Amino acid sequence: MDQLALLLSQSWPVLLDGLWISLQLLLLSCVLGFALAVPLAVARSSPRRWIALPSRLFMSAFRGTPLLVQIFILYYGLAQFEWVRDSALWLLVGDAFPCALLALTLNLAAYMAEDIRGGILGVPAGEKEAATAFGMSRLMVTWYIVVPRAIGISAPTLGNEIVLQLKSTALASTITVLDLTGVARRLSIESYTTDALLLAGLLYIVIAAVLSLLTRYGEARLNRHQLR
Amino acid sequence: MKKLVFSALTALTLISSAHAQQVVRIGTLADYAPFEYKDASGKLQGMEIEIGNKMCAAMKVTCQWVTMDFDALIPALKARQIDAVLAQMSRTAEREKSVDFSRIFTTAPVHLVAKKGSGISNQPATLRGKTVGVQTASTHESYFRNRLPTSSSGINVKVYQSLDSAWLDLESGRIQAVFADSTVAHDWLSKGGQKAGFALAGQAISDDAIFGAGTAIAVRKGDSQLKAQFDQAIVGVHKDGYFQAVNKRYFPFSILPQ
Amino acid sequence: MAALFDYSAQLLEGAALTLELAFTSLCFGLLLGLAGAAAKMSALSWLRQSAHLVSNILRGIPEFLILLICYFGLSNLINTHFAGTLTLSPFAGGVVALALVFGAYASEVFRGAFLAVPKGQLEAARSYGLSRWQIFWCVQLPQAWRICLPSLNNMWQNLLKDTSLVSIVGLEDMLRKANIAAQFTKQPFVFYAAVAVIYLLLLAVSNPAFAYFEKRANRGYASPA
Repeated sequence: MDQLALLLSQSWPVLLDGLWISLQLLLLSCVLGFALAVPLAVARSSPRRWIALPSRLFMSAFRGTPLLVQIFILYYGLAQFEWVRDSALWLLVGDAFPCALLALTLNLAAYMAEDIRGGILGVPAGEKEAATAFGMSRLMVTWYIVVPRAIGISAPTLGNEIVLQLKSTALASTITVLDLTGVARRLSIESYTTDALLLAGLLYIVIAAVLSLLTRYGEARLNRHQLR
Repeated sequence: MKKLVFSALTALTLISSAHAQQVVRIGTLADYAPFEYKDASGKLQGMEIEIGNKMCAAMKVTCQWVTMDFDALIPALKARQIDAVLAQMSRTAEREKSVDFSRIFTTAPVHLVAKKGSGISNQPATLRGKTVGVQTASTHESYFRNRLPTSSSGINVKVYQSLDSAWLDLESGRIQAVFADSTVAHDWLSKGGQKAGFALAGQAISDDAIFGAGTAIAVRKGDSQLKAQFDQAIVGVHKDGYFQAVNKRYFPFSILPQ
Repeated sequence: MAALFDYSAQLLEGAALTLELAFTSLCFGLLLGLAGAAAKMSALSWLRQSAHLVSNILRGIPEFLILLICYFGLSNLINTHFAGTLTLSPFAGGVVALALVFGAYASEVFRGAFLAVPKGQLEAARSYGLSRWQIFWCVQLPQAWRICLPSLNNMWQNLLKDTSLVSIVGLEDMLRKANIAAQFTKQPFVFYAAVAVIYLLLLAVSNPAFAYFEKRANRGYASPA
């Protein structure tokens, strides 16, 4: 225990830096992932095959392969091609942090889209019918009725995804991003012990617990107009 | 009856162990050409593998090669997953606090590798604002950490699990230089690095305190028997010319310690 | 592309290790999950609370970090204290980490499933004089199994994807082989894409397999209209 305390007192600046990077990856990927997930889910639920198919393929690809493989493909795989290095895409995958963020965002979007799709299926048909009866176009029905309702229904699952995403950010350390896990590994290698890793684990648990509370509060507020 | 079976089994195990050779598990890398690397069929090849096998035969032990990342070697040695490390590991005072080393096996001068005409040399000022790639837990990493920390030198250091990933990033332009042993640098340059426009940058960098006198075989602290066996074997390959013969096939220069 | 063909045997060897790792971890994970669920539903409050605590800790720490701790820390612990007589191989280290994570999630799933078995069934079984073991094996388990199959499918797929993490600690699974090949041939995209395709195939096979299990488990139940 005292070894952990000693480690904390010596290395807390770098650990804090690493933690900040992890939190940045988490927050940005959640916001961007959610923004991408909504149109993906709507497209996936569309009755028109030419809209639904690309969305299906995207979701199958990103949910059916490990995040680590996705990270390696984006970071090392794309760098193999000259045309990628010369294009605007390089701004995204050239540096380790944006590349990790991209992988985390795309991955999360696929999972969130599946959850929101479940929510879309759960929207009561009566509400959609009422909206159409009022003369709303299909687009208006989708934007004003279906999407908000679906997000409300899938809120608990989405909150869960956010807490899980914290754990996924740890994989950014595999492409030299110095997040909390990356810093902990460096410290662990220098000292030949696993104390730094255990400390990092403790920090992750604390953050996950805080996130759990925040997301549950968020869900309650989102659905506060629902009769329980 | 039980006693008979028991004594027969004991006798059998004693006999078999008397004939069984000592097994030495040697930890090494799988992606550090030309010293140790895995080819397309998954077979471990390389200069240190060849000489290592010769030494094991001379020591009359059975050697099992175990591959892992460089930063896992010393922890694995301490955790008894392996008995020795033969992976171009430099013998430094820092490492001698945790493990014992054999006598010097090869010399390992270090060099920067960068794009031709980039203006990068061994002068720290030329690296200011640039990013250098190094292998994890290597002397190259501790050189930058101890001698040229980012806060004062302005040099960014990216640490890679395997040096091969660093070469990939150098080629794609993510980093501007790689700091590694001249031997592997020479090998990478000759196998396409030069064609891609890269070359050794500046002079060789020397710092005995950080880089030590050369590479050696690491064993657990206190494992004097194995250390003595390896010492004897190293003297053997150095003296009988086997080392020089293999050296000539891999490099146009000698890495035999003086 | 030709390089892919040269290394194909290696990739398949890695895929075999991946599957071996996944199935071994699945077996131990299921056992741990059942034990954990039993602990969580136990009458002893200290057992219940420590089971919940352990399960929450294992679900809160990134799997990657758990793997690093198990691989380096556990190996260190076991190999130095049991020097010589017992050693934890890298494969075992990986299995421990993956099984622990799977077990932590499985204990939650099993707990929910066992609680969902109608109480009347247990009472009837007890009044028939069935032993505790018979009640568990013949009444509770088949019914709970049916309820938790969809979640188990999800967890199995996550387990299979998590096996890719062992490549970071040097175990020669598919991804590690691809790493070595990619760096040697300087064609990372080809190899990583190949690994992605193999994972897709493996996971694609899992879905019909679980559908079959679900159909078998649901025989005798009225299908929803």
